[in-house]
Amino acid sequence: MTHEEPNSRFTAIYHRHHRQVYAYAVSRAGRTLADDVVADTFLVAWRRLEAVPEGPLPWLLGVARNVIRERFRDDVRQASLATELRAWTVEADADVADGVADRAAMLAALAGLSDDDRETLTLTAWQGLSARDAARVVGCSTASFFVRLHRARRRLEQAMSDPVPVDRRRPVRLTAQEYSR
Amino acid sequence: MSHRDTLRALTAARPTSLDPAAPPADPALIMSYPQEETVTRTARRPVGRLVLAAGLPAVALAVTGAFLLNNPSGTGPTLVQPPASAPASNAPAELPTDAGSVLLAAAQRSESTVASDGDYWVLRAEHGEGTRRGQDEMMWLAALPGLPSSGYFRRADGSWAARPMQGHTSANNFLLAGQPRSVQELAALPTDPGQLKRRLLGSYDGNDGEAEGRDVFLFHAGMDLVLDLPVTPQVRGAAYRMLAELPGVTSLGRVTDQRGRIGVAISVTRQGDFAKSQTRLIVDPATGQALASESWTGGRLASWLVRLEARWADGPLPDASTLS
Repeated sequence: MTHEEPNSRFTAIYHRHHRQVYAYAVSRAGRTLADDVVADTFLVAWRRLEAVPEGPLPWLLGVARNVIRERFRDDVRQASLATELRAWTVEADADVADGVADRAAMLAALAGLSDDDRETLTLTAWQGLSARDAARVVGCSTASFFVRLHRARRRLEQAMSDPVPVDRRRPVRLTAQEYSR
Repeated sequence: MSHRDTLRALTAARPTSLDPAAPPADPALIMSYPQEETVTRTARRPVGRLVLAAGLPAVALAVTGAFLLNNPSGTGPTLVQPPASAPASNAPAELPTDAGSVLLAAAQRSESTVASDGDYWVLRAEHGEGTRRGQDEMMWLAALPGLPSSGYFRRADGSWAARPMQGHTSANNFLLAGQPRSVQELAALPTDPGQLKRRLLGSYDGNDGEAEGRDVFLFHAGMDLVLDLPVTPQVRGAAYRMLAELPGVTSLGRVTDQRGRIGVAISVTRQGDFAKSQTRLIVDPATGQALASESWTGGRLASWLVRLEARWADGPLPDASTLS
């Protein structure tokens, strides 16, 4: 193997999947921590390039998942994520495009779900992963991922039809995320 | 709304903040790190959250984390260590090997050396996991504001390659007890073991459920001070004395480090969820120098570091091709 091969393979993977890993990191840990998660994830990918499979996205997201768990204390992650989830709703509210109310209600409902439910739904809806690939990310069987997805979807629907009184319009302290931009 | 519609609506509601605001960083930075030769699961576990100090620099730290945290620093001055191949000493058998005596002797040795300083704190160490071949690395860590820092790693053919350490400054190059410290702060540490201990405990959060026990925390902080931080010989001596007084610190007797150098292993052990984990600090009882640190899990060597060099130097940063 020449020197160029691993480099070009890694560069291709990096450019192709950077946005997706970033999106996953934001949805799991918030914008403030996302850059760190992405950098660490690709560092692992570089160091173990031989282990990175073809169609590397599920592998990368699985690494990102571990990076998040290992690197950040849970309270730090939860705080960053809570800020992120509030910001989604506020930003959707502020959006003047059509269908806004639906979007904001959807995101508020999503914010009210458990971490696991939210991950299950967003891997499918936002990352566009098949159940098989999503199952590889979270480390379960495809069958049990289907079950999880079914339940998470039901809880999301429930949350939307029976909205919890979320203070959506209260101005959110945006300090953290503004600094991170 | 059918299930399918729900997912479709969710897809449509994807927040724009999931997209990065800036273009991705240059992957060349990542590719400047050495790749692993073989694949193992635990590659860079040991660093944990201590390296979180700041953004991308955290990555640089993360990779060398084991190095920075566990690592070298010698006794005092322009301490040039004996060549790696030679045993650091021929520790005569009659030297005491109990933890207290070894550490107090090391303290005395350390305190009798002369302090020095420079623009850069140069650390060279080989570190590895299990029985795999280690990676020989050198770091030139800026001690003065405004100077760049650089890492170097040794390729298989013996030549050195420079590795940029962007984001590393004299303000965050040196981690003690989980926090970055400037050389001035390190120099101002107490030289009395009791006061040193109190100062270190100022960084200890006993209420953090994930935190290690107080004595394990102090052991690691003390190990950083004697192994790899640019502190004065007096502070290093105080760190040895502090370690000598810690409960639970035991001597494992004479051992050899991963380079075959003879020393005495001083250890703390804690019971993890699945196995006992033990941290060993290997000290040369004859010279008082810390030689190596090792982490053992369930009776097996998990990761190790041997300190080959820890000294002050003046700039500028050397070119990789000039290193031998």
